[in-house]
Amino acid sequence: MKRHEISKQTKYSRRNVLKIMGVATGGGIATLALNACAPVAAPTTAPAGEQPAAEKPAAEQPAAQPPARESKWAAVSKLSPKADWTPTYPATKPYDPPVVFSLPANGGYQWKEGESYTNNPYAWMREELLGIKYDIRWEAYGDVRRQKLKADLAAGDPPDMWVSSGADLTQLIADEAVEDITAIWEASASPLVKEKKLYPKGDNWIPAIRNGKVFGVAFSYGPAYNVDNIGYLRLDFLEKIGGKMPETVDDVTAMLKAFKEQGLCQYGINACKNLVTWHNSLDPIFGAYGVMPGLWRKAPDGTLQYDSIQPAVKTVLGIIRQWYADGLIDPDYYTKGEGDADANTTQGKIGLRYSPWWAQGRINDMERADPAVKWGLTPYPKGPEGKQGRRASGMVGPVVVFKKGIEPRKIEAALADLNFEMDLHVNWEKYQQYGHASHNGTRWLENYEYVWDGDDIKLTDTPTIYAMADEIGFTFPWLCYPDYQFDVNKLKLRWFDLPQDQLNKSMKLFVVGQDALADKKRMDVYATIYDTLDVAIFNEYKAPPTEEMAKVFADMYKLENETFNAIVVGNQPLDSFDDFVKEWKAVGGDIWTAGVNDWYKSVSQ
Amino acid sequence: MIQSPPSPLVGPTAVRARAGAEAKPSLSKTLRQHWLLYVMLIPAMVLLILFSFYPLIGIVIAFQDFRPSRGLAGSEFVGLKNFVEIFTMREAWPLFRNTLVIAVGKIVIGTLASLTFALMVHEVASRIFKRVVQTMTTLPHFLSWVIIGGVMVQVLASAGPLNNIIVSIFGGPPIRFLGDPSIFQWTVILSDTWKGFGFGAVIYLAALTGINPELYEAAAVDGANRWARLRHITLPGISSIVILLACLNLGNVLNAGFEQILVLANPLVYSTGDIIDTWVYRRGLLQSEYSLSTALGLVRSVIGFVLILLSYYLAGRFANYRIF
Repeated sequence: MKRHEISKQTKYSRRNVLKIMGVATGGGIATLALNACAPVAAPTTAPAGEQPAAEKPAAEQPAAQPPARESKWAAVSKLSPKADWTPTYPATKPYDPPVVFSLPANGGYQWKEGESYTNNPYAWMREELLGIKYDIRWEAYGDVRRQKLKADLAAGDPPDMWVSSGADLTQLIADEAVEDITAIWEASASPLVKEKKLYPKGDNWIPAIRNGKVFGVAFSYGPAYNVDNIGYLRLDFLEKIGGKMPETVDDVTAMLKAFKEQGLCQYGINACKNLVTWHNSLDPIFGAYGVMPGLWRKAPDGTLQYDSIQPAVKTVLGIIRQWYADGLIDPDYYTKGEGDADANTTQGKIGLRYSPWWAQGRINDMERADPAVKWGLTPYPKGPEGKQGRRASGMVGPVVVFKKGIEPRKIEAALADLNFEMDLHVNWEKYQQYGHASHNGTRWLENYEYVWDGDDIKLTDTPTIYAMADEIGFTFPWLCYPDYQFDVNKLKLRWFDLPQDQLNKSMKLFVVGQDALADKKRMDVYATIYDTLDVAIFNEYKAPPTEEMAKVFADMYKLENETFNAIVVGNQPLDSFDDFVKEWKAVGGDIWTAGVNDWYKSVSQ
Repeated sequence: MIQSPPSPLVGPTAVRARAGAEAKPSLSKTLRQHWLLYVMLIPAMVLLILFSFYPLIGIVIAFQDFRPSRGLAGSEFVGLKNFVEIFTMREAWPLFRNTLVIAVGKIVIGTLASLTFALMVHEVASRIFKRVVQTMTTLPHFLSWVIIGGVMVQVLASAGPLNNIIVSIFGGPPIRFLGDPSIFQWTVILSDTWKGFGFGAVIYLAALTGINPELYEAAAVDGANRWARLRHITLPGISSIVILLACLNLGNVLNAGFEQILVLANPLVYSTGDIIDTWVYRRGLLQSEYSLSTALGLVRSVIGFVLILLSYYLAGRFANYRIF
């Protein structure tokens, strides 16, 4: 199941979700707007630029600044007449001649006239400040991208670096198809990068490190990064039935029934064909009974056991089955994926849904369209033993790998870039003018991507930051650190409380206008999810699946999903759960359990 | 379309097939005589070699433990291991069974529907009505399953139009067209028939127009009614094309329609809806088990190839259709 999650995350998290939601906070970026070719003073705190300076080959120029007058980047960045303070930038010294990375891109963007992946303000900035250029080999997205990457590998011509995870990654490392970057990483990654990315002890490094060797740079998903769900409840419905906020699963059942009986909504709770998933999920119901299907958890005997086969799952399936029979769940829920099920929310057919923080976006739209609609958060329901729980995303994510035989200089340049940008992220308040890029995501270059309209902001139709950022491999989770999202939100939330005259223009970008208020609501939800980390149920199996496990994975997952859904809709009796447990063990579950525990033993010693 | 000799639309291949019985001219003479035709053939041959023959090299993947990072040359050969794994896996039988049931169902029901529809349209006198009906029924063929599938999910929903009608007439709970494993195969077959029968009828209609109208006039004079004319003129007139298409369809019996299943299937109907193609997609592309999925694909292709040979033989025997 883990692999499944990962692929979903990489597939949807940044581009689809954030782009669709128009959210900025989570989406970040690789490319950072640097307003500057103006002479630069090294920042006082943790200057990322300093570290690689000492390590770089002699061929490089020390801290040379690009000539401001000829700079294309400068011309664009000067379009920000409203900036009312002068930020300081980390000292950088561009590679000369520039380092050129051959990379795949996602594609599908409408560029401004004459621009492209390799010719746009971000590209100019990167080239002028860091001496790094991109050469886009092809454009493809999702599964097609994965296939093309493999075709390139099979043809012996992989990109310079790419993002890999799961069994693919295991295979690449086993086949020695990716470079061991240990030495360069140790020497070139700045202390700040290592500290913030929790190197080497963080869970995120488990997939990247084998026998002490580093085979790539780990992503850093933060807690609640994308898939941690929280309950969104129609408060206006609750008011109409005269109920109080539900505390237990039984309360939830009673409330949903009341919603339906009083004709407030057609169903009650939203669900989709994956019962435990990343939005429109039912994971908190399982959590209330102390189980979380799909995750590996520590059993009393000290081994890891698969939660989907625990007896409590049967109890919860019984509850959901009853909900379905009572019409509290969409009768066609099993035909709907996570996104399809959203229509039930917007059409007012449900009163409760468990979804991640960014789902507040759609809810904002609903509230804006109809003032009678009022949503709010509801606590995780408690089971009979007072347990609460949600599925936690965990920090294990993909890894950016480098092709075997890549020039060391390129690895070093990639790390220099990482150092540089980590500094911008960590000390972003200081660099907020371009920090804007990473934190509001959809716009940062004034008069280029957005224009001021009185006190509000209007976006232009120039492609967003994602166009550059997502693909290149330099994606947000790579460049960032686990608590980044939280830190940024905290800071931004503080600005909302500051008097107007204490805000500079750049801060105002975040706190004025409707979008900013909507954004604030999302950040509030994020904060709530973050504050409830104590109920988060983590997957204790943190390594990528072995090849043996990957072989049985698809069938096991299919069997589980098939059985659970058949039980819920009543195609099979509840007791068929017991047969499922037996079959699960027989068709590969035992192999899987053994593999997981082999790993667990190896790390717990 | 290639037609049997009694039809006025006599195909050139059929003519040549008979002409071939005479003394064969030498190759060089043929080349000299028809060199321009051969030159015109070159682009097609190049494309064929490039896109159909050259990729056949990839078949070796079925006998390897293929790893993209090692490539075709570097991957280890494992003999028939992948084939053994396929035939011993838990899902092997359901996969073949589902594929066969769905595909054969589609061929049989689809053919009958097209044929019946063609005969009905043929009997319609109004040209305009004919055209309108034909256009409307042909249209779905040109829409992709991704679009049709989205519509189907709505139409077949518990509270969808179809269930509304059924429940209002027969009462009872709504039917789970997409959620009941015993019904799902019918849903797939019938929805595919709905999508394709209009287009399928085009060939039969073409054959029908090929029947000499004098025969009908003569029959009418002799006092044959509509039914008798259908039985004694129309059906014999198109029987060869029906047989031909039925034979050619044999090659499709392991092709249950990947796109359609992918769009319509859900966890509830894996047991009857999972077909070879969806398995290959899941294991081969999503799980990256190229060797296993190539092996299964090869098995399917070999069976398909045998069936095509068989159908060619049958088509030659019963419909006098020959290419070589």
